[in-house]
Amino acid sequence: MLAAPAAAAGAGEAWTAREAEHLLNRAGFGATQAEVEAAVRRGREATIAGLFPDPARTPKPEILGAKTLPLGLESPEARLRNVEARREGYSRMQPDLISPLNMYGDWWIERMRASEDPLRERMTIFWHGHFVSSIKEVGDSHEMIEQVQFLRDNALGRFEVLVRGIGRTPAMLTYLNNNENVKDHPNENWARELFELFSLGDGNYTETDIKEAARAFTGWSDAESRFLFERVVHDYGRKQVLGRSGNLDGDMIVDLALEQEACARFMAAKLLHHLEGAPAAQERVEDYAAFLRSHEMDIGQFLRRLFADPAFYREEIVGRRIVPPIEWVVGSARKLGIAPPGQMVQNMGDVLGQRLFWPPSVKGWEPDMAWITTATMMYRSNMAGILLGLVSVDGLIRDAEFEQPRMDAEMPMMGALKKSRNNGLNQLAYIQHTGWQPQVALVEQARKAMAVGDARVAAWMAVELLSVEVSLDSGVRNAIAAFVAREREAEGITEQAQLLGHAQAEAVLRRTAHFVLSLPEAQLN
Amino acid sequence: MTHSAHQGLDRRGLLVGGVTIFGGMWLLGRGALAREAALAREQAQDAPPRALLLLELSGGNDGLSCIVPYADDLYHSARGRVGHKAESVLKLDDYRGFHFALQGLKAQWDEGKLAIVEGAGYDQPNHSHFTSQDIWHTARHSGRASGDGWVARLMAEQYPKDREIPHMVHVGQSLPYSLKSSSHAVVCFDQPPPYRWAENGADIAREGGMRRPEAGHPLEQIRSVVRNAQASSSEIRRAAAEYKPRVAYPKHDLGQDLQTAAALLQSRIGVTVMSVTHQGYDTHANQVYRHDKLMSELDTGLSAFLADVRGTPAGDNIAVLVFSEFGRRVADNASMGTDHGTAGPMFYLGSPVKGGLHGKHPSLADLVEGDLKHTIDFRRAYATVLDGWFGVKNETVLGQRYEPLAGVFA
Repeated sequence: MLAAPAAAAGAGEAWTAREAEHLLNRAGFGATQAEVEAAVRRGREATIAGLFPDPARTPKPEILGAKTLPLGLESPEARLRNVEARREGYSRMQPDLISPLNMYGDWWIERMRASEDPLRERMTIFWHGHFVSSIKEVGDSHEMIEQVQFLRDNALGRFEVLVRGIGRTPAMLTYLNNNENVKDHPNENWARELFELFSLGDGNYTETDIKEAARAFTGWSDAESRFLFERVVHDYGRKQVLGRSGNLDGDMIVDLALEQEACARFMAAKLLHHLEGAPAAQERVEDYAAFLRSHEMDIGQFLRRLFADPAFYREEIVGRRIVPPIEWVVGSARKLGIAPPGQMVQNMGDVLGQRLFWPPSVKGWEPDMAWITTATMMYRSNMAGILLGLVSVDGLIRDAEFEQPRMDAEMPMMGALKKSRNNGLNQLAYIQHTGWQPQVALVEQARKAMAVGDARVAAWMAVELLSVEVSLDSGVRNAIAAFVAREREAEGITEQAQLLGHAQAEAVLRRTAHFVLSLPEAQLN
Repeated sequence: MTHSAHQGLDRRGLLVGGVTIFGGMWLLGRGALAREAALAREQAQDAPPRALLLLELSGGNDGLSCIVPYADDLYHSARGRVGHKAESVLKLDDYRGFHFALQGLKAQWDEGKLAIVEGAGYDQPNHSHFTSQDIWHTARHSGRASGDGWVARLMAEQYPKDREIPHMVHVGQSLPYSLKSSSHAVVCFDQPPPYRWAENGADIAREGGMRRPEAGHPLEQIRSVVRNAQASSSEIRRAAAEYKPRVAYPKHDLGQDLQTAAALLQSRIGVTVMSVTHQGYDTHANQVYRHDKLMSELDTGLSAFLADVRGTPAGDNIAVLVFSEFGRRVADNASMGTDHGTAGPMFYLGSPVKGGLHGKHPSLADLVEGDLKHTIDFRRAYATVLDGWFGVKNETVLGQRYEPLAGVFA
């Protein structure tokens, strides 16, 4: 299956399973083999075009029904209660407190897993980690939903629309305190991050620029979850920012930032790093920055160019990017052919260091090797085990090896972990307590793939769960085959060919899948 | 979970023992033997090795609300909204006083066990959290471009050969760059009980840590993390589970992290530097409530830690160093907060520390664009730990020589 016809390739460039899978992995969430084969048949141009479906076809989340949005989904008191409750980890005890934000998260996860527009969801996560706000400070589900929805609507559009609009979202006005930025004693928080993290990068402005820009944004505020310009607290005096002076206002500051040479360079570098999985060389950044400048900073056009660029398929980046947690969990679920509850995926993201709606700082999530610690390597394996129904979260929380099992008075249902940061694991325990089980059918998939014999089971599993580059590695395949053989024999199945017909076949294949998803190779794509 | 899966798990439980013995040796190979030997050497020593607890106040601690220059009129005029009244502070002398929540630190001061470095900072201060943290974490103005973190460099200097022992441990979800090492094992976890592979661990660790791809490939780095995970999982969980603290730690996250730190530092599993982060210091708005709460957590957490470890052989060999990436602007803003500033105080605590004031309180009259001028380079505070506590020539870690502070370590 890997020796795909290259007939559909354009411009003399290769278009094989390797390239197709690379594109689908970087533009979506864990390409399945069926999708890779279809993309190879369709050809490169058509595959790239297919990543940009008509946005009008994207349905709005049901939760954004017109009846509820204008006034907010909950009363302010209920909102606060929900946020506090989830922060403390108690919502698992009281399903009625699960807030609209969690429901929106479920909808979003479902879009990542199964929509026809995965690139938009990928880029929405990117922008959520770029134009950061966190529910922890915002404290209002409705405002967070509206902000993420704004990022989704414009995820593939012009950068200007994003940078101009984000400062008016009530979530951002609250998160970076601009709704408290007034003429006397301005608050610099938003002005600083607008330059440092959202548009120019450190070193491309002065401290004076920030102080003066903060004055220009005085009065940008919100009321009833709507942007509001409060004239009485705006500073109408003369300011000097980034070499321009006059009675500058907030929109003019955004214009000035967009005009800077540094802006396109900063965004080109960040986008390339995100999509390629490693910092790009300076020449490449300059090339793409020039492209952005000459194309109205249009993100969609930037992506189309990148996906068609032969350098995007170079050896140093294909199969070498650390897959971020949400993408990894969603991708693993897709490859296993299961649809875990969105809440479960969100909690797994949290455990692995990527809690949607709660970025760790205004800089968002740190990429690459920062995702991989001694703890998260073990947790990635454990999360795969939960997806496959092999790992009990209670068993994970209670360390039977070193601790006496105890019933906890405060948390009667289980020995929940106490620290607020352990919300994710506690929530996962709750989901298992409600009786959730994965609908995995690996034997059926193996039969379809005619994976008979340990070596072919291993090869099938490697191709399904790992990226092309490593799935061909004989060392990996041999290790998987040896694992299958040991598991099979432990079940008393002596003949390789009898595995799929045996009652314990599903258990053997699940344990094998768990093993494969736990390997270092499975953390890359 | 299905019935058959349960049977599978039981069966696995029987298998794992045998696999581990075989797998462990294969996994770690020469590294394992060297590691065991080094650990045995360390445990055979009479005196526990000298250790450091590094506590980062993340987000930019407002030094002026922490050690308050209560007798300075300029302070009161600049801090009309978030300032502390002279009568509320715990007076240290006739100029400065502790934040009212720092009762435990005040007690340490009275006992002569708290050294304060005032006005710590660096030339050309950077007001970005992230750039400034990188400068503090690497002890270099060029930040990450300069290479490994300063703690990692210290470990490389102290233990040039014992690279497999988890000398550096961070309690928290993400690793601070100060511990980022290209050569030595580093361990990072949030809570001990779930710090393990729930199933298939021996197989995963063996296969995941074993084969070596070409240099520079990310797989090589991941494999090294897998080996460190495997090597540290049992020791850390055991040390935390068997630990019997002598005082009750507060329930907040910092308190829990410090209890874990106390457990590991006294467990003789090779931990030399423990890192803990206290989050939430970026108080642009509503500072009064937020900073008061942080000070209270800091004080109750540190007080419990110090009371717990003092008097044990290992505990008396722990020095504590507290720092933050910057202080905050002298004048408060209209949203009852303060913006990013520059210099701030650092603290040394613990049995080996001799109390006192170092550096100089920055002048509130002589500001640069509204910010304090630092009066001492923070690397002199690092140098004091390097020379005075670890006996390492500080230039080997810091890249150039900095003058250590006199009299912090007796």
